[in-house]
Amino acid sequence: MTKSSKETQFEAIYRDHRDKVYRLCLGFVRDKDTADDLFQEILIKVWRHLDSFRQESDISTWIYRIAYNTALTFSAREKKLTGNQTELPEGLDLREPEIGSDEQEALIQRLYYSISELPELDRVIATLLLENTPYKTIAEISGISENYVAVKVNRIKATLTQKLNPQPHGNQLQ
Amino acid sequence: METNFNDIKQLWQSKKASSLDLRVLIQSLRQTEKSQKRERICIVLSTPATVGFLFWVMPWRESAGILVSLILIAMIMIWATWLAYSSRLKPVDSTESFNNQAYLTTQITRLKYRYRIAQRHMYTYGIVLCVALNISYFILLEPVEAWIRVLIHIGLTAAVMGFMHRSLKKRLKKYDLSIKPAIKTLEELLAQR
Repeated sequence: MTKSSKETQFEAIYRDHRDKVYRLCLGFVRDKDTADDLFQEILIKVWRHLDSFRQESDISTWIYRIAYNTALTFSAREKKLTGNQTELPEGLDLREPEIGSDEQEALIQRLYYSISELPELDRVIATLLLENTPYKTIAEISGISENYVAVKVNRIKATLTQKLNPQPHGNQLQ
Repeated sequence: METNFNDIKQLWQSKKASSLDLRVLIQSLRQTEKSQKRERICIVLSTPATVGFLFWVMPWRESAGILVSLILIAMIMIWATWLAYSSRLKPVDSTESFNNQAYLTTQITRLKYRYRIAQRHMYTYGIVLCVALNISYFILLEPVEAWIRVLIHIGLTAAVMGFMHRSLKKRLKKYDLSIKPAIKTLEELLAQR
């Protein structure tokens, strides 16, 4: 692969997949700065491995594999640094949604937080599911069977829906 | 519930990445790539250069003992270079070719391997190095008095092994705070499956 073709391919990958990969980062770590670091680490790995991409698999599955594997080791490193803390991260806006422009942002923050509270495998499945990824691809990326993915999906849908829907009493994030 | 989850999907997909200056990013990626390549080349070249230098300065043609000593040094240097290369310097780490489960397994194996290198293999390296140096010194110090030779052999062995032990202990202490917890977390992740 020549230099320019690698750059062109990388730019195309970045253009087509950046939003999905960025959302995955936001689902995996609890604050924006760390998500940016993870996003950059994934881009570096995509660049580094681009020469070895042999068109044997779909490019999105290939990118997801890099992204999720990087996110898993990144999140393991982060957990080591921060401990298994469950308190809310600094700067995370978890205010009750208000009528107006802040409402959606507050809901998104709540969604990220809810996803980041899931166990790592469920996080992988949840973020892939939210990108409309087929069960077969989720199974390929996560390394579990399609049937197990289906079981997990039901549980994840129920958990996220419950956490995102306002409760009549108590904290919505409990 | 399904409609509600579709709303969540829409909400999720509404978030877009802030755009990066790709040219700057690619430029810095290329620079990193270049410096890593240079580092790999230096490590690979340093072994034959050192071995070549030793063969050049040592009178190996005059003594079979010195030749054996140099061969031992060359072998352990190649072995140590291979250990460093296989544990850290490989340009590709197969992130892209494994599913999560296989990736976690390879990462755990790799981290355990790095730990084992410091815990066990580097001591083997030190012992073989001591043997090789002592063989050379035994021949080179032949004209010197016996008690001085014994002292030099003991001093040399103590210095090499002491230095190895101190630096490896320091490295293992660092690994206990970085590699060991990482292995534990990755094993926990694997156990979720």
